[in-house]
Amino acid sequence: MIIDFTLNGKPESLTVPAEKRLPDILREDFKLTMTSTGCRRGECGVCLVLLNGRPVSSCLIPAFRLRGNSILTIEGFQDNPEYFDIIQGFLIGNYEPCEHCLSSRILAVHALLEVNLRPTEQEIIENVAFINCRCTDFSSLCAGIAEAGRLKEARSHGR
Amino acid sequence: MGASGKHLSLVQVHYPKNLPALLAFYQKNPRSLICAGGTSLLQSPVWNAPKETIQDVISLSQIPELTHISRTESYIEVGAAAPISQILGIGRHVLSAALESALTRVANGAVRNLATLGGSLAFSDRWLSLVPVLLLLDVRLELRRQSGGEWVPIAKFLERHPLFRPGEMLTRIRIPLEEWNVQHFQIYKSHAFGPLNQLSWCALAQAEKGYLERFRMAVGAPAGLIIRNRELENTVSGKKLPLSLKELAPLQEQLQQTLENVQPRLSFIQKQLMTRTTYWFLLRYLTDLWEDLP
Ligand SMILES: Cc1cc2nc3c(=O)[nH]c(=O)nc-3n(C[C@H](O)[C@H](O)[C@H](O)COP(=O)(O)OP(=O)(O)OC[C@H]3O[C@@H](n4cnc5c(N)ncnc54)[C@H](O)[C@@H]3O)c2cc1C
Ligand code: FES
Ligand code: FES
Repeated sequence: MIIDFTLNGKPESLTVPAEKRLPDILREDFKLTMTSTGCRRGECGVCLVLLNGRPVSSCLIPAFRLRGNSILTIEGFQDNPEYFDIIQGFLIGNYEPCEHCLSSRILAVHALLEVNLRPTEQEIIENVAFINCRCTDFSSLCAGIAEAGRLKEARSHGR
Repeated sequence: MGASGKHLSLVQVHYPKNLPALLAFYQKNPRSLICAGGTSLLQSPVWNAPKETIQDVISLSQIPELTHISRTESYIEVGAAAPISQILGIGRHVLSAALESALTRVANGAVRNLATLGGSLAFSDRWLSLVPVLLLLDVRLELRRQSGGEWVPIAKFLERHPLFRPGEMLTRIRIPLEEWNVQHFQIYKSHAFGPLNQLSWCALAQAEKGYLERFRMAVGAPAGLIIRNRELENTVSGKKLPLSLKELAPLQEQLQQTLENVQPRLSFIQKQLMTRTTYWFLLRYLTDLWEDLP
């Protein structure tokens, strides 16, 4: 089927089997390789992308659900100042996620900071910390997000 | 523009633009698969089985009526294809605390942005988390076919086999805004107990002038098992508060009896979790600690 949708801000028209899943479409049809996959069942969260600005597990999205919608992957986000706020915030907060989960965490934090620059621990648990990880600790994640929020806020005030 | 090597597919997707078009198509093609959020459908054996003929899929994503949420003084009305996160967006001050708690415990944020309330109700394997709360809140469901529709109490819906008649689907969910002083929702999904022993537990209580006016309690277990005993609820309702420890003992017995009679049989772990949670709730909220209530 032919699917018209927006990918990283650009309108796209793709001929693809209706059931093909988004991570495979990104990788095979658009050569966008930075979205990882893990469980492919919606559990681990490492395949997270933004659908119309909201975080979703891309492994649960078949091609036909893309129609008329907008997808943002980490490749499309890297040119934004917000991307640097988050990376810098992570570094200041001593939070260094691995390559496997980095892009999903950055996008999840971006979506969270868009609605709340100073998220609570509970909001961080619900919106970011569900992405599977056994190698970093929650307090450095919170510190990283707090710094990223401050940087974003300062930038939006022109400081 | 992207290019795909393999375009052949036996899945044909239909995107009705409004409810009448959807119902007309579904009436003519009742074997079509409805896709709301797709979070269960894509994992299901039906979807993943090798296809020999064309499989029609109806996407609900472009039907505004089905994602609309509205509110009156006495209820909230939710379109069946509204994602769970959108329902949570209604806010803590409006949603029942037990329902809010149950909704936030469905999967994770990235699934809740896709999964819909209608999809959860239509898929009995997943009744565990939300259905006990919806049952206690006396939710009503609108079931529609091209020829007409009806509002059905959720308790009646849960008894249906199959849940839907050919060409029929769930279109709206009406959640009453009733006052309850105490609401508690608990879900046990711990690895300590294993997936077969998952359990959800919900109770609502309303006290007025020192009496327990109303009390409701329901439990959910895997594979669509929902347990509610109105006799037990009636035993507690109307009692003067606080309850004495002596009054709790027969309740515990009544609950144990109920659990022994449930089919399919409950495991030891499930029975333990149910009785312990019930006892904890009664102790915490309906005995001496009652005065601490807001
Ligand atoms: C990782 C993960 C964890 C999860 N954890 C939980 C959990 O803890 N608790 C919980 O309750 N759920 C959980 N879920 C399940 C989730 O709640 C369901 O997958 C979801 O609610 C189904 O909604 P959906 O919109 O995605 O439905 P779909 O997958 O689109 O549909 C599910 C079924 O319902 C039918 N259907 C959908 N809408 C309608 C309608 N309006 N009328 C008639 N039939 C319809 C479909 O044809 C299909 O058979 C989890 C899912 C995932 C992926
Ligand atoms: S790969 Fe695990 S949620 Fe998508
Ligand atoms: S999985 Fe990436 S930091 Fe733990």
